[in-house]
Amino acid sequence: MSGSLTLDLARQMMRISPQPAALGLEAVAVGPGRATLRLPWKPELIGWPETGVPAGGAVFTLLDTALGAAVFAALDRMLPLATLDLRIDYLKPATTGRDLYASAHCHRLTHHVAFVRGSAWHEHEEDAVAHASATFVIERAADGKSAP
Amino acid sequence: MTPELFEALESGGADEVALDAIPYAGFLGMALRRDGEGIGLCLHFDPMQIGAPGRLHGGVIGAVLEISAIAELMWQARREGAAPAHLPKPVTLTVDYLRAAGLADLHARATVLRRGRRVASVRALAWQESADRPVAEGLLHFLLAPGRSRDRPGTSRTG
Repeated sequence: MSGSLTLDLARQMMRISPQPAALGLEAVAVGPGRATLRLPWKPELIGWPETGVPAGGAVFTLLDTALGAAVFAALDRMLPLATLDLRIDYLKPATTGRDLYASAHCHRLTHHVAFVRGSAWHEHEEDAVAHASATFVIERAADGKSAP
Repeated sequence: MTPELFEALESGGADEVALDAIPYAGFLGMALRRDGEGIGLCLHFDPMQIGAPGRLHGGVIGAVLEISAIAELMWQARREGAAPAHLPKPVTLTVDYLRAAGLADLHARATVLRRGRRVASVRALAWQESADRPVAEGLLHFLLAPGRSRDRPGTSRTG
């Protein structure tokens, strides 16, 4: 799968899209059908005040963004995507005060649907804090007109 | 989900309380509100919640579903006089995105499908204009912290 997404374009997307920008998400690497993002630590991410552990929702947003980016990295041109479903398994709590990374791989692309897997981790993908999988609908226009 | 938040809703002193006690919920702009005999979540729209143009970010929707599920579990436990010391821990979350979520307030409400001693299953629904037309539905599994005995209410703790 060749990709139209360059690292520069991915970085721009993270700055332009308001929620990723508010979180400070950064594109770290892109490849054919693959994307890696970083979520720098900030206290606003805390979901468990007693321990400082980041909220599941923050990890969820990091993964959702990374999985979508992997689809862009698989498409030969930028097209609107709509998430169909997204599943996340929390393997263990994320660590307070530490940056989080998410790596995603669009492992199957059909004309209408993209299938993506990813994981969130601090140091190594093999020691993930969460796994995720998602499907996206690719909003392809008929006859070159914009899809509704 | 501190006892003070629930007390403010129960006493009728407030219809809605900001969820600032959880930094991430405060960061997004979530509030807890009374919903008949139960509670619901409201995310007041803010442009920082946007993902793709004209749409709320899918991760924000997921976060709202998760917090609404946690709130419902804590609310129910409190009603039974067995408020646990700690928030339940999410194990899995599956979100089905049903309709595009536009630039408007997002509401959520959760239903506990089953609550055992250690595990709970919760379904959460998020909508904007009408609960009959949800934008997303979530199914969550949680590990529960041990509850306190009903026989010994004890002193309240944050959790």
